[in-house]
Amino acid sequence: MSYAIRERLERTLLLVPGVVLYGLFNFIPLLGLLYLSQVRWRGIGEMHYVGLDNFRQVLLNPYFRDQLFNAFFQNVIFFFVVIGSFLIIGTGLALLLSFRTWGRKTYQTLFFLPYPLAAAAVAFLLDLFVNTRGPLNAALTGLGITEAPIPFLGSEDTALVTLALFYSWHRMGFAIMLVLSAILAVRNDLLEAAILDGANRLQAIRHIVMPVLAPAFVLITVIIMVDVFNNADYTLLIMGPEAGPLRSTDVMGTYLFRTAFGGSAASVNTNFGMAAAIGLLTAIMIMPAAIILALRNLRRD
Amino acid sequence: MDKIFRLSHREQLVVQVILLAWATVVLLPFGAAILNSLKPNVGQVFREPFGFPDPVTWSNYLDAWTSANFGTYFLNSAIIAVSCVVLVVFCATTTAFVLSRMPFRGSTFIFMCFMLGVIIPIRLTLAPLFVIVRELSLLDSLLGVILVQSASMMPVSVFILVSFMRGISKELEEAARMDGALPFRIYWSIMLPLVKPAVATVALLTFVLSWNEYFLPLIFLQSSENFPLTLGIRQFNQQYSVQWHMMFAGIIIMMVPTIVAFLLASRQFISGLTQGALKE
Amino acid sequence: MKHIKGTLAGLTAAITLSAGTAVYADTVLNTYTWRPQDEALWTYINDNNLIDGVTVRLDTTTEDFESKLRVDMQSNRPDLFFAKAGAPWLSSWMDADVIAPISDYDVDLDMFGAAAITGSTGSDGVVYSVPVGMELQAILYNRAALEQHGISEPQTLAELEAAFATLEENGIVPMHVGARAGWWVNQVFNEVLIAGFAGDDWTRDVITGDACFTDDAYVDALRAVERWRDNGWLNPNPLADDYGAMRTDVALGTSAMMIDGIWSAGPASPMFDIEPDLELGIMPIPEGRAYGFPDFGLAANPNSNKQDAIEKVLQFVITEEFAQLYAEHVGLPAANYDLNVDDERIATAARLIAENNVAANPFFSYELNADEPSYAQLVADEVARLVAGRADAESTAQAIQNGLNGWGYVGADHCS
Repeated sequence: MSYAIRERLERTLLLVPGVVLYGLFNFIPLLGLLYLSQVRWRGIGEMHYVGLDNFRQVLLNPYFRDQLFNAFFQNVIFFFVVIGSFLIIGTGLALLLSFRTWGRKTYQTLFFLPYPLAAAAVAFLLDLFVNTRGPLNAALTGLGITEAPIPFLGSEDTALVTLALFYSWHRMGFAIMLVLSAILAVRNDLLEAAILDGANRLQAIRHIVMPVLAPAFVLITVIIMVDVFNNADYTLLIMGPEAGPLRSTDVMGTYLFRTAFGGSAASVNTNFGMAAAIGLLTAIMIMPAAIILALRNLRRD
Repeated sequence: MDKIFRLSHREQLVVQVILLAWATVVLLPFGAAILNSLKPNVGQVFREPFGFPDPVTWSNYLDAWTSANFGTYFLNSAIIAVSCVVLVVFCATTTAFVLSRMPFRGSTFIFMCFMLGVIIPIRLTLAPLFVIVRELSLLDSLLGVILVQSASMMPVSVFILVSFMRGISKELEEAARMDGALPFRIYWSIMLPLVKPAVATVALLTFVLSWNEYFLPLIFLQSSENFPLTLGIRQFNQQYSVQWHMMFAGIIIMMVPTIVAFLLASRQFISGLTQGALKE
Repeated sequence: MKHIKGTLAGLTAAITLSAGTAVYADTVLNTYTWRPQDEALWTYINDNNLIDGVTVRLDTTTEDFESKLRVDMQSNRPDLFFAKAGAPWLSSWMDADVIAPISDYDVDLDMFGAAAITGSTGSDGVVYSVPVGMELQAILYNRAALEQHGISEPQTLAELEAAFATLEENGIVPMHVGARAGWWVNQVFNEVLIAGFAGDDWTRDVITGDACFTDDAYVDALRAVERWRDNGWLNPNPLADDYGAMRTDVALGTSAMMIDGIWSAGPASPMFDIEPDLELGIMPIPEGRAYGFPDFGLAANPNSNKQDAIEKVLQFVITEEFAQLYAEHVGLPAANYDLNVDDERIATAARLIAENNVAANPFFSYELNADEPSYAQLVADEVARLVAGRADAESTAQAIQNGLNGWGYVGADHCS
């Protein structure tokens, strides 16, 4: 066999496993959305072809449409709370840890501690922690900060933000470490030059360090965005598919789950087809932002 | 240089206060969980969440361990996470290697297909995915969950690895090719060693995410013998939702192995997870 | 793949055997339920080998049972499953052909009362489950909390509300609602209120579309809730409290009453883990009807390949022996035999069901739940809103009515 042929053969062999794995369990289902979104199907029994009726239902029937917009809007809020806390608290703490502080190795480890834990454990832990009967409220009332316990997860005004903060608490370590390693990677000569030019510390941080953090910020944003728009674990674990109180913690993932498998409050018409339609619509909604971010990151090379 | 990162005593104090404050935010829930997991009944948990347990009841842990199959759940989680890491690291590095270093007609298209997966998360494709897994009769098997979770990690991993590989100069590789080295060898002895940091990132990201995954096992696993910890703790919660001291004990049991593993390997863990993600 | 699956199955079997829980010759039936309170009963039945050659393995899912069952049906795993009462619940399984008509089996349903059979009958008139237990939902109260303040069981609505006032003055939450649990709002709270306030005529007529949700009969029930809420007789954060929190507070005596099924007063109730000396009283809403119903039946998966074993279990479930065991272990009256059990709770429940039961159950009616948003869904959403102080009685009733009118339910023309 000639070198060229063997090279091709080996190249193909190297490519196949990844393509098959991804294709079968991710890409083909993705294409399958196109077909499945056009049937009415309970997930068991017969499929009925209904054309674009699922989309019509989701977009025009006020009952489904309101849920869709509500879930999407709340998903966006969830995302901004998470990303906001990451960029503010995460960057702030990373900056502080980049200084010569006492015990910063210990702090690093501590801050990272929740990250490797399973979301399920974190969700149940924090659910109990902020419960009206829980330790946090006991501390708040005990110290006289509030008179009555605050229903963090029991009020539609606070539940969504509380869940988003659970997420932030859990993943903050990742944001801190990512930003921190970007800061530490800033080339020393650049900083020295800046100091020689008479820049003070704040100026040096603003003009030298911050610009270098941009790729880290983009990376964090992409990862979190992809995760937040399909990760409904916190709502599912703590609130169930009904996404209470009063649907105030509903996000795309829970709406999709409820449509496909039904909620606990008695849904009679579960429909895999409509779930596929919702999946497709979500994809379309988040696609522009995701593409912009992905391109930005690629062009940097 | 040093001037920027060194702190005066007063600054040090302010920084310490802030860091301690966040440390408290991180540690308080754990502390409350440990304290309350040792209480003899739920009444004591409610009446005095920060009171010392009286009497200290270690048996809660034994009860929690025996009444739930934490051993089985743990084993399943480990099997799933380790298999996913092996599978994803192998498949993603080979794919990224070909796509970034040996482009051919159609390779951009394949890469775009992977990027579509970054943008559209696997959970949105839940319904068709379910049909495929069922047709392959992989429902309710660890293998099915491993394949699905690995596939869900592929786009991000390929994305990270391709960006990383593109940044590496071609000199070594071309020299090897001159010597007649074939793709297998170039992949194994040149590319892999060069992209170690990125591989570490992918491996750790995969491990953490597949260890934590709740949704996909929820859909694809049915028998409790196959449950990973994430589903196990949910099962446990159904049983003990009103008995908080038991819930806390169960949560701690679930967390301890992870925390111990993390503390033992924290340095590699943190650096591995963050290093490769950023191209320096 | 096959190989790995086989190995895994073998491993599982080996583990099960070594644990000594199953006799290898038995056919194991995967039986899906949402009722942890039945586990002791079936363990007893298995341990004593009461069904020859069959082991019934319960797979309990207390939250989102239907989701779990629907998902698992796809792998054809359930052999038997507990079926909730009423045609709406049965319909989705009928459509999917995963629930077998009981006439497929050699099982005699003659000794069951009409109420029990109705609960097991689908919209096509076919019986799809063997009724097992009767259930009663009512006001459950912590006896000690009432006695402490010199209150005896209220006999009239006025007495009930006077008791509420007294309790509230003494810092006890009179009526605890766990509105975070949607299923509790629609199938427990709202239905007990309907039985207590709306009466037989309205309940019968609303199902046929001759009465409307905006009628005073129903709005009065909601007005009572609004009144309790405004007087501070409900817990302060109803949406923060789920079903468990509600039961915890009543068990601890910080709350006095709740509306719940009497399963919470049964021997397997977790409330006694919280407070071993707890004594619970049971009463319907004073001056109203009680709300008893066939809670569930046992249904079979026609696609299971263990049909003989399934038949054996169904045949066992209709025996008097089973009824007796059910009363003893679960603490509820069985659906088919009037047993002489000297348990006060079972006796009370049986008496209330026999003498004072409401004529119909909107929650179980197919007509109100045939499409989205269903009556059950609307109640879960809107009554929670009312309880939380986001709506008043009239607008709640109107919202439920509008939601049903939206898909042209049976009363849409009459009630627009």
